[in-house]
Amino acid sequence: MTMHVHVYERAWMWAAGVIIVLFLGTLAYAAVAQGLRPPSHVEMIDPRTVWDDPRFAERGEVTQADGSVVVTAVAMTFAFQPAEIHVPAGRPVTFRLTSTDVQHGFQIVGTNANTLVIPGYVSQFTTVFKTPGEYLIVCNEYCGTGHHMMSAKLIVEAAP
Amino acid sequence: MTSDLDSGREHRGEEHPRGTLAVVALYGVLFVLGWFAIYLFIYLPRGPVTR
Amino acid sequence: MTAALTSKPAFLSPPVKTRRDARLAVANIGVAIGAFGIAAFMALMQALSRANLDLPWRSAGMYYLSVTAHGVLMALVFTTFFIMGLGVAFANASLERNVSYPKLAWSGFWIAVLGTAAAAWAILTGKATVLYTFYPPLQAHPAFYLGLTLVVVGSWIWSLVLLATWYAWRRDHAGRTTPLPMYGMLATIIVWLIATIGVAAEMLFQLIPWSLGLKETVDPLLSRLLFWYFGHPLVYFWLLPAYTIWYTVAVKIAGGKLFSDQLARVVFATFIVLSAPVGMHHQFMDPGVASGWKLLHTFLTFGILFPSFLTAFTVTASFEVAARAKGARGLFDWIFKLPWGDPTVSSVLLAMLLFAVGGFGGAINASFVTDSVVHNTAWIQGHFHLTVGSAVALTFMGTAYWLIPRLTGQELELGLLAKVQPYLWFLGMVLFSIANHVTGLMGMPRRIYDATYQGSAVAEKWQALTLTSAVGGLFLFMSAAFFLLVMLGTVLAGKRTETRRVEFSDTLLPESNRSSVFDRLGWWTVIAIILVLIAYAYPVYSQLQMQTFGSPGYKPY
Repeated sequence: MTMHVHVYERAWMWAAGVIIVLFLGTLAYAAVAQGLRPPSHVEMIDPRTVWDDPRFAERGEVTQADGSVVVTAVAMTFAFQPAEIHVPAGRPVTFRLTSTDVQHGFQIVGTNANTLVIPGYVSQFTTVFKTPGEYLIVCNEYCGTGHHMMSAKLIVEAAP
Repeated sequence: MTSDLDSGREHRGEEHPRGTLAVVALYGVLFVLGWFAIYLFIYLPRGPVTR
Repeated sequence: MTAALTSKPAFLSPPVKTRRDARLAVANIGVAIGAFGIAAFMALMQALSRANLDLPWRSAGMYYLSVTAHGVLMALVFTTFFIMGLGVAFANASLERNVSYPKLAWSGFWIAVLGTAAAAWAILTGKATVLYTFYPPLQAHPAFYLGLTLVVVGSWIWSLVLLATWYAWRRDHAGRTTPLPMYGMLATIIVWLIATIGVAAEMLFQLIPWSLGLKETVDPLLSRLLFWYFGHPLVYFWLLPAYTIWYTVAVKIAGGKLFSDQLARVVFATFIVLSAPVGMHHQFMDPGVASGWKLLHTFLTFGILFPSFLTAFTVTASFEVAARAKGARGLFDWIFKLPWGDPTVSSVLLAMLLFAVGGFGGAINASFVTDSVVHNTAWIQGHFHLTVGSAVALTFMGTAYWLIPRLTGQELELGLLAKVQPYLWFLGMVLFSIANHVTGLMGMPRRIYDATYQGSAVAEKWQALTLTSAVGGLFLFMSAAFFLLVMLGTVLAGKRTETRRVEFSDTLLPESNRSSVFDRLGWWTVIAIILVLIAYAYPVYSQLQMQTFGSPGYKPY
């Protein structure tokens, strides 16, 4: 069939196509070449036995042999456990989180650390904090009347 | 689908919509600059996250 | 009432009983506007709370209740009923025939009204403070889930009635292309029918039996998959009627002709195909969903930017041609020759302007990298108040100024308020939206009663902008009140007027009225379903196969 497309509109269609390809190219590069992926860890846990589960029985920071740190934390209405987390600057930190009740969010304000915490699942992601200091951790998924009170502290300490 | 731009039928009304072309071109430029600004100057400095 | 949607002579068979369809359309739009009024009042409560005014009823419980009521009544009830009313009016006027099965259509309307009443009762009595996303294991009263399901059932009946009307028209007009206003509504309906499968499955297999105690636990991640399978095309269910109005009504009122009918059809067909297989871009930060699927949905989501870019050109060019016909000569002076004093035209122009920014924000959300900056922050409410809250809601209000007088045969009253209203909305939305976008980038979460975080230093920096968003909210409420006054004044006191037709824009070039590939809606639907299967069949299947642990219900509100 024949379609009449004005020359200006055709130019704009090409430009729109180029813009979209530019974005997708950048995203493909970020995902494939730089390994940047959204938190997409797949691991299940029974939300009713979180406290007894060996993976979450002990919470807090554990330094690994290679100097990286694993932080284990639990989200519940309306608090994080532990409420204060200490990690070193400049080293990879892996967070492992789950919920004992409803859905929560875990966001470290001023960083890209941002994940949903869904009961029945373990959220996990890795990041590096460059700047030492105190960071605010907030729940960013509505979880009930105390949602706005649900917060914790992250202290990033200058590496020795 | 083919375009029959050579048929001369693209002359609609008195003039080409050059104002529209200018407006959408400006929009496209701002759109791209804004996206890269947030990616390069906010996302990347905050420290990328890997899964 | 002396309403007439069309002035088709009576000897045409079947005779167009326009008053009958007009009543159905007005009933739907009336419910929409009523829901809008309650929802706007809920927004005022939130704005006052944001401004830290210590009103006696201010509490966290009331705040989250008002967020739930505002979201459900605006995003689900106002939009759905307005679109149902618009669909009836557009089918009648563009096909020049009555809608089929009027009794069925009315029963669909009453089912949706009953559902709305049930859900509203549950919310307003504090039994369903689960927000309009109702993620389990937050659990609401069964009336909330049953009510929303009935709204969807009512909308399905409406969809079938309009599809039957279109089939009947096509039988009588073999080989003719569907008029563009109806084409836009059909695209809306197809997107809606595909999308609502997800939320229907979530309601019927998970939330309803679970809230009634027939099922002990639900898998919250499966719910999120089904909800967002519905939740993103829901956006296009709102948007496509607004686009239809931009293409076929606003351009006409501005004195112009549609720049390209064919490209408008390309836009609608693209939305049919690409609306649904994109929902996982709302789940970038979810555990349990593999990143490969998130990447696929990212790519498809960016594909859907294309038809909106195209719409920006076609509609703007149509306005430009209209203004040039009035003597504009320069590169930009045509913008000022447009009828900015007409409330329908100014609503649409301001809606387009706000949507231009909203579209940009959407591209940030749809990129999994930048989404981690803004995910679940105040940026998100800043974003969707530009899209559904402006591109759609402002367009619908502007449309009501034009449509209600034509449906009721009464003149628009309080015209000055109508003229001012779109500008007040624009002003309020600019303040509200900029404040929320910026605080979002600063890391402030969305949907929080109190943003102080026990005196946190970083939260302190959000406070001034939070106040700005509250001031924006007050302007928005004033605008909403003006709209409600105009509508009430028109219906209660509007002078009887000569009947005016619902008319649509012509195309700039004479276009063939023969049926084309775009009229093969069945095939476009098949392509859409294939893409849905590619994007969703395996993730949902594997979610059902994996050993997951369900959650019992919680009511921490």
